[in-house]
Amino acid sequence: MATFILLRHSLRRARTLVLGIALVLFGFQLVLTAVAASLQRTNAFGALATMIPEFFRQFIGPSTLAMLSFAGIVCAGYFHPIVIASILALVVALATEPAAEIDAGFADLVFSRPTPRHSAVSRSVLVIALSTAFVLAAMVAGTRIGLHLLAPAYQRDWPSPRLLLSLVASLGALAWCWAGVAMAIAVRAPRRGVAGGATGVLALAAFLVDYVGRAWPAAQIWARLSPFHYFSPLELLMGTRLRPANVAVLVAVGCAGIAASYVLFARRDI
Amino acid sequence: MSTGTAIAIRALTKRYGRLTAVRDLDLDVEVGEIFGFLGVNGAGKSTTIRILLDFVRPTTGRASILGHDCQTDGLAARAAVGYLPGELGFYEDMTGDAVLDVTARLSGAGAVRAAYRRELSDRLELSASDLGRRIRDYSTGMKRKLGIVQAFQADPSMLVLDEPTEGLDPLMQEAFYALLGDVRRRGRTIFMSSHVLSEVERVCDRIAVIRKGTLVLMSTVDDLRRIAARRVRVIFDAAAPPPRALPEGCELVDSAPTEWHVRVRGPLGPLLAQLEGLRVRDLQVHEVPFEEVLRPYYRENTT
Repeated sequence: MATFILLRHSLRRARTLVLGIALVLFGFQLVLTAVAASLQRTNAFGALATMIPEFFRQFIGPSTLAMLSFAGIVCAGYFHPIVIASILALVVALATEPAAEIDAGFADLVFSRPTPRHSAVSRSVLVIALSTAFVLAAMVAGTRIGLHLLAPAYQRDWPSPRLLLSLVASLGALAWCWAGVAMAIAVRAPRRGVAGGATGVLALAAFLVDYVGRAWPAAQIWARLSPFHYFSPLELLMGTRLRPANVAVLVAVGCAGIAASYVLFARRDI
Repeated sequence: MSTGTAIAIRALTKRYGRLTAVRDLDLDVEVGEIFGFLGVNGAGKSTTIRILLDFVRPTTGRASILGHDCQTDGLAARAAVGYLPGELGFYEDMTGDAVLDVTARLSGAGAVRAAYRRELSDRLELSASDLGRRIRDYSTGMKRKLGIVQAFQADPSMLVLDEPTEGLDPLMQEAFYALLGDVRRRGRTIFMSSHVLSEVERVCDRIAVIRKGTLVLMSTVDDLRRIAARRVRVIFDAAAPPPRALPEGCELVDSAPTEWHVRVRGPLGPLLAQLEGLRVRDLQVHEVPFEEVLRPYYRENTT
């Protein structure tokens, strides 16, 4: 019961942030569809490919061609670094709410009532799940509406529903993974800023480890430690099926973080 | 009024690394009393309160509220408690009503009667329009009043109040004291910390003083007044030599040919008996302010 009271309270507080990000990403998907349609109309994809430096093409590999296609541009939002950073920032902000409540003193009002500690963690898990699902749904809606309104002429080149679903699942799993990590840090942190900062630094380090691992074979083994290693949207774009093992790793890390959060939050001093 | 123990604290110790915030504390608060928990900043008052509310886990020892262990049966313990924190952690973008609604729902279904909440708001002069405003527009006093309403609104069996009148104007302090009187008449227990000793003297039945985490005084307010030394000025019609000896509990502080200044601990009877036969013109008794009575217990090297 307390979980749902806190959930309602948190959703009300987070609605502006969640709606704002959903609206921006919805709009971004519309714009990407318009750009893809424009490039398709002018047959500009070939010209674009010649503009990419050879070393960069080799670095990215065969996925260059997949990216420089109608479907590749339409789907770019699902793996664009800014979009990923926005979604991760959202889940980190939501996951660190327990630390924010302690920091602000609101936790004193909540836990002086007969409110079990686990309610606050369960609430945050639900807020993250609902908010992430809402934002991803807004992105898919943006893509689908954009395709119908702005690119009906290229219906055969549309990204398949399976591809969209795979990209969403992959991005959602990455968000879930970092939500778990952020929450495990936040439930022990003295302040939200500390928890958010620590998670941000960890995410940046993990991104760079994966980035170096992709570019430098000697570092590939270390890349496996990074959650970003298990997020491979370009493979999906090239037609590879979503690897359940990759999603499972990300979901498992997220779940482990959440499980740790329950234990750590129950034991900490407020 | 007392029908049992409201708060029982046994051998309670809380350490933060090398710092011992509370040391081997034993304390009992009876049902229906107003108990003042006093001490300087950092003495361990807030840590003790936070252990009672299970915000903080003790290193050793245990505490219970109305028979419910604060750690192992914390939900039942807190279901009986209304808490006013010393520092109110309201989100600035919430309205007063939203704060009261959330805390009321968390108290349990039907725990808060709308009529009682309205009565509390009215007594503390928080209007409906005040409660509809965002907290960022509240003054310090209004925040404190909102905190009081949220603590009292479920009409709990026990109130834990941390510096309840801080920031309240004198009129609101009076309204708050009247409210305390009402809930006490209904048998509620109040455990409060305060730095305002005149307030403690006025409203509390018993007090405890904690210093550096250790209990240094526990007494009823009446007993404390009784054992406090009074200053008695005896004025004579004619010169009276200083007495060679005074009864037990009496101490000559100063004397003049027609005046004695005596410090008296306990009843005045023995001193009056000694004055029999002397030509006493006037007798002035000065009660020692409560602050002075308690001040030694706040300082180190006093027990």
